[in-house]
Amino acid sequence: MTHADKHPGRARGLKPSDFIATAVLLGITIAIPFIAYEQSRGALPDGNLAGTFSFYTAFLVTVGVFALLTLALNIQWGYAGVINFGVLAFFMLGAYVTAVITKGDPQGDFTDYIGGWGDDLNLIPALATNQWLPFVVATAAAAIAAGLLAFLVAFPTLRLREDYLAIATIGIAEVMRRVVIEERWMVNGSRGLTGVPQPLGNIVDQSDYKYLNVVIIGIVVILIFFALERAVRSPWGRVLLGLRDDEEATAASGKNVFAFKTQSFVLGAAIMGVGGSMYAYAFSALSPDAFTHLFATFIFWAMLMVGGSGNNKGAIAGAYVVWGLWTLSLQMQGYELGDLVQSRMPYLRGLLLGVAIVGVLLIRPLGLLPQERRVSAWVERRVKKERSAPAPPAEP
Amino acid sequence: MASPVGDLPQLSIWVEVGLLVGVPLYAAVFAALFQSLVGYNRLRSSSDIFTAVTLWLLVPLHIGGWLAYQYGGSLEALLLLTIWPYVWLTAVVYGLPRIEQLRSHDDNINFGGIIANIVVFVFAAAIWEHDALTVGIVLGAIIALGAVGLTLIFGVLKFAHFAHGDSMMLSAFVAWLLLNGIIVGERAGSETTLLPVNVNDLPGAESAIWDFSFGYGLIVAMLLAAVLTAGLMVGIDRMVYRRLRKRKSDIVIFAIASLGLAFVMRSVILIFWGPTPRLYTPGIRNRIDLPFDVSLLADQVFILAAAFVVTAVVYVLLFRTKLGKAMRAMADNPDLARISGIDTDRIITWTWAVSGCLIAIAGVLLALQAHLDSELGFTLLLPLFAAAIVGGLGNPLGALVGGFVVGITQEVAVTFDFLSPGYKFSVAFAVLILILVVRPRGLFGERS
Repeated sequence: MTHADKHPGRARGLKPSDFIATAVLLGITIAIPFIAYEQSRGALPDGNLAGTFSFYTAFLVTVGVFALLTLALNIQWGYAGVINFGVLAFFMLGAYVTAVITKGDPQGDFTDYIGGWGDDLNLIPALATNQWLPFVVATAAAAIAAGLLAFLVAFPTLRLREDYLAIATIGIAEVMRRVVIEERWMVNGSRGLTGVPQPLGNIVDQSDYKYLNVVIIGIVVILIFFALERAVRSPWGRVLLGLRDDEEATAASGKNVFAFKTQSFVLGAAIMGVGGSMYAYAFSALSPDAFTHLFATFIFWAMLMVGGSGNNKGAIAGAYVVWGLWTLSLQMQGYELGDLVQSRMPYLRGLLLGVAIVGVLLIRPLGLLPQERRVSAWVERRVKKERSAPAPPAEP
Repeated sequence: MASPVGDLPQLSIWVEVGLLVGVPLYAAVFAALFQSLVGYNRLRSSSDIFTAVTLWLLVPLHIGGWLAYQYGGSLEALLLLTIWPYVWLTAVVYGLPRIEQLRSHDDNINFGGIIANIVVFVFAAAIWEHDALTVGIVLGAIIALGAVGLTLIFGVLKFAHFAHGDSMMLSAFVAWLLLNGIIVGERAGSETTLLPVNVNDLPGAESAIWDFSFGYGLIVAMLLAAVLTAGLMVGIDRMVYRRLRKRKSDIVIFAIASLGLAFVMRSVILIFWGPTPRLYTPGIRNRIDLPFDVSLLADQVFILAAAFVVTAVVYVLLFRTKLGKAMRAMADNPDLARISGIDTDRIITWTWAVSGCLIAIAGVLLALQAHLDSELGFTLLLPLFAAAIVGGLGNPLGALVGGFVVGITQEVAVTFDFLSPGYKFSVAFAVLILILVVRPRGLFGERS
């Protein structure tokens, strides 16, 4: 009896899906530097290697930010089965909260925003606390604000059918965008906020900041990844999985469905807030135009579906693959394609994302890295064992 | 005391009249409904009466008084304002914790409260903001058409169709293509003719009828677009949703697939027509005057008439034909429908076809009222779902009422000082949340 026969649910060895996932990841990792090389040729006459490295680092910074948001969506949808079509709201709230806390007082006639406490947080001048304290405070505040907003949305809707929450999240995303645009006194309206300070920004040159940033974001992603892995392997995570697979059975076994769903929704939203915070640090400028439904909600769904919902590694891989393909398709714009095709390239990329979601749902519902089956695999194993065992002798 | 508005002196007499008539009317409507409902649906406890009166009578009265004060009302409005700490304290401390209780065993009270408030709100709007009210009715008719399609899909297929708003916009653009036969490049003047033959080539199709800004070409294009959209919807169902159904996917998977399709449709619009908002015809929009100081654009009269005709046709289809009976039976209980010999696949196809026609007509009418805009599709989901949920998901007549409620609320609310017109769709969202808190099954929905 081989190992795989003994443990049918946990098949060791390579499966076809592993090959596909590896091939896609490798392909993108090889292709991106080529693009980077092409792109950097115009900017840097001979320093191509440096240009390639710089491009790839900037690419990884974006992937890191998006991986955070995809991980957060995975906690909500992949583990608890809670739909969130308004990632935008929590993402945007996190980014703006971070900006108004870390920035100094408003300067000039055309800027107006609340907050601006960054300079006040230099508590112990000898320690240069303003190098790190405002950023810790702002990221924590972003997480708390997004979590609170999630609680407010979830409270009236999560008890009802699943799709009501989906509709409510679209609504809160719309309200968030509108408030940012209309209430100019709050966060400077459609002019946006620029010059968001960056953590430890003074110790390196501005043009080299991305090399430091990729380390910071990498650490945050790794911390959150391991925390989430820990959480979903705990009894709490098993209840979430149970909720997603069979809500009624979980409720029947005495679990408070509403409480667990709310917890996962709020936790996911808080991580989205952290993601928004990292976005604000990485790009240092915020504008309501940047937070479109496509770029701030839909792309994370594409990443999660492609990567494999219910698998944290899949979420990160999905962010890498989808953003990689997005960046590669940038290259298509460089070719001579005629005005009619070329001017429509950005929308064609949007179309491909939509097709990717529907295609994944139809052809490969589990995504690139399918979720690992745990509880159900164990049950199947037990059932098989009992079936194959000789029937107990009948009572005389 | 100076009013914050100040520059509307001729309105303040109407404010006084409105308050003098409105408050007693309010109390009367509320009392009548309350009485009749309490009569056959016994209240469990006096705490329910107290909660209902606080939530449905005092809080709205206070909001009304505050609004009246904003519009320059004086004495009566201020009288209402003086009781505000009492009202809000009671509502928050006492009323909100008991909503659940009220909802679970006596939600006819909530029904009465909601209806009374809608009646009085519309009455107040008719006095103070009758321009916004008329626009609200026009918009409500459009939303109602879309919401009826949405609620039909929900009733028969049991999932929330998130591509509804974007397919409305796509079909409006399809009608535009049929009318002009062109797609448009990014730069000005880079128009490309796509269709060799188009509707405007018909003799006299472009010359305006009556006071409308368009000729009969638009009506032809609208009907053609309805047929095409019905076909598109049935095609999408075959290609996507039927496969998911065969796999017995969760309803949530359907919702995500429809979200994906929504973005596909939006990208298709952007690819063919670019991001610039467009109009059907450059013609002049004539305004016509009706009795009671009401004036409307001629095109809006067309919208109302078209919506009325379509609603009548759908009503006959749903309630007077065998097909409609089968559809309603399936919405009621799919399993029972199947075992009583209804061909469910055929009914699903017809549901998509009917919804497709409604989508196209609502889309064209919306584009006629506002403009053709690829951005509008996704946010349009809010009023559509709000209307469907207010009426009770799965109930076509409810969706019709819900459409008007949402349309009117949306238009009237943004005339208030503190809400800029940009918040239009946020108001629809507020209506949605309110109904989900006090009566999640909607006004006419089945108790689950």
